[in-house]
Amino acid sequence: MAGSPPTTVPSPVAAIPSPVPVRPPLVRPAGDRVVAGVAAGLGQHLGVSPWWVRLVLLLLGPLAPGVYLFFVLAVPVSSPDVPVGRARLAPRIGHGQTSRWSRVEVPLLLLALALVFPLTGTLAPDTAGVVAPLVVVLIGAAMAWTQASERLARRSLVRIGLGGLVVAIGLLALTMRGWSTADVLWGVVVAGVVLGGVALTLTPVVLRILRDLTAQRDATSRQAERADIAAHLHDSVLQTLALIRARADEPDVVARLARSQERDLRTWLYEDRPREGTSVAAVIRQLAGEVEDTYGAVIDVVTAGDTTPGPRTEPVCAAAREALVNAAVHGGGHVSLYLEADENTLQAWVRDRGPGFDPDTIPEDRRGVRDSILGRMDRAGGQATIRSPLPTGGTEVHLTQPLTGAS
Amino acid sequence: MTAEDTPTPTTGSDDAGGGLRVIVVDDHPLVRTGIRLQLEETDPALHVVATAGDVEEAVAVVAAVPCDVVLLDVHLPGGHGGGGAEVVRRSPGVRFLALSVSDAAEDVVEVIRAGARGYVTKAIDAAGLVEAIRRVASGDAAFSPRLAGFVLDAFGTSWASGAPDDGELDRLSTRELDVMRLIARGYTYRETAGELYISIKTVETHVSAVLRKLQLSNRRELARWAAARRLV
Repeated sequence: MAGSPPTTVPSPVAAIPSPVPVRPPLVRPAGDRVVAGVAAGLGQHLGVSPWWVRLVLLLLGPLAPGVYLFFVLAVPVSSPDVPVGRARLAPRIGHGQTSRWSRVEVPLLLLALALVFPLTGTLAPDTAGVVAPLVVVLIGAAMAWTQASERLARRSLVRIGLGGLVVAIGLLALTMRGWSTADVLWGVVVAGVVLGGVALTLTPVVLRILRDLTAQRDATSRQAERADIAAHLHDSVLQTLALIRARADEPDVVARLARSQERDLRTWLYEDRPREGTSVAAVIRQLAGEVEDTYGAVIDVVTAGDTTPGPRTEPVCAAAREALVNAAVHGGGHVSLYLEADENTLQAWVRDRGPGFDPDTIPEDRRGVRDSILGRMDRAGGQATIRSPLPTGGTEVHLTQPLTGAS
Repeated sequence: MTAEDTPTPTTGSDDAGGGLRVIVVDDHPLVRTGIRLQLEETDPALHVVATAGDVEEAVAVVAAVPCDVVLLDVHLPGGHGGGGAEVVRRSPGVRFLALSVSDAAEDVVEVIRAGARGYVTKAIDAAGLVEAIRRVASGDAAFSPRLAGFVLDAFGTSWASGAPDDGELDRLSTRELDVMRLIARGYTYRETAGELYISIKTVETHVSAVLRKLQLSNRRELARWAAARRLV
């Protein structure tokens, strides 16, 4: 993993891909950044090391803050964490914590610096010489004071420090109007030494306090959210168990209820649920779950790869559903579904272990279903193959659909 | 620590058809009892010689009680928080078969890369479980359709899907892909052998090779895939 920052969110694979390899999107990573993640983000997007980007920025000289500021404002931050509402409930095995940085108020800082730079040449006592430093002081103070109401963290300390520094610069510019350069420098040195000494003394204590506070607050809020989700989950399991107890004499119903709840719970506990509409695998699982519940079968779903649902994947899902229903009704109840998806093809295999049938002598009620599988895939530009009976018994339906090329 | 039986000396721990000593590690007492009953009913030659309920207990039991296979739950409390994977790492030279109610791929990869020789879900039927235990005991790998699906997902489903400079460990051969695909489709080893016109022994060899690749591969995609699963 050396040299490859792991925090970009990979974009969902498109059903109709572009002919050239897709770049990762331009975002500023939440971790792995030095200031605001512009160089890191540009580096990831262009496929170069962020240090080259930083070098280029440095070479731009006086234009650098402006360019940097532009990117900070224009490029969004990527957020790799799964929102608590969709993350798995059970704890992960040995997963470390990544520290989070959010937006840094660099624009304000850069603005302040941008104002100070011109001042070094105009230390004459005129209106501009008074107003500009005052603005800078106010900006610095604002930077520091906004931290008072926000959740305290190490980044707050940095901002407070920066705010203080900006205030100091502004005040120096204000008070040293008209001094000679040597005196200005001397004044800056004195001020710097004093402030540095004070800061050095206080820093460790303040850091410690901030760290403890942050940790506690984070933990509490996380617990609260998870407790809500857990309560809802326990409630639904409780209801299912009550239903099962009430119908304990009907083994089919009990098995169905248990299977349905088991599936639900497993998804909540052990999987991060994908966002709606981004995953064909999720659609197929949903569909398989419905068939399970309606027909009382057990469907084992295995997927490899994934792609975005679209007009070309829809016929495959519908045909797969037909095949699953068929397998559930005629195939003895235990069905295997394997889905293979990449950006070029979508394939599905549905296998049951029932008595199978002779494709040449299909009974009347199955003919319609068979046409709706074969015919549907044909119309969609794909293909369906039915093998029955297999050498060891059962039926297998193979669906394949190209996702690229002429329809 | 619970030693249920004094283990009777066996004719050889690799005797796949004879008596096998099994240790069951799971943090749910109901599950431990259930598995023991299931195994004893289905195959009397299998003896559950010990059980454990958390990471520390499991490491101690596995070190102290000789056995052929350890049935190991992936999610275990205690130790350093590493769960079943931690038990596997701290017990080299022991054959582990991972068992879990979760069939999430990220849980599987932790435990396999730590050194487990197979992964089955708790929903498996008793006969399937016995077969998996015997497979692992005789030195082969036990692959469930889920694990095969994970392998195909992580390594890519075509032989050409790797980068040109990927090492031998970082991609599957066409034959291995064929075997994995059939297992993912729900075929047993015997059925897979029949489909591909090879012997069951050859299927087992391919499966073991795939397991080794899964354990040792440093393939970027594999690591990034696993990381993305945790993040996205």
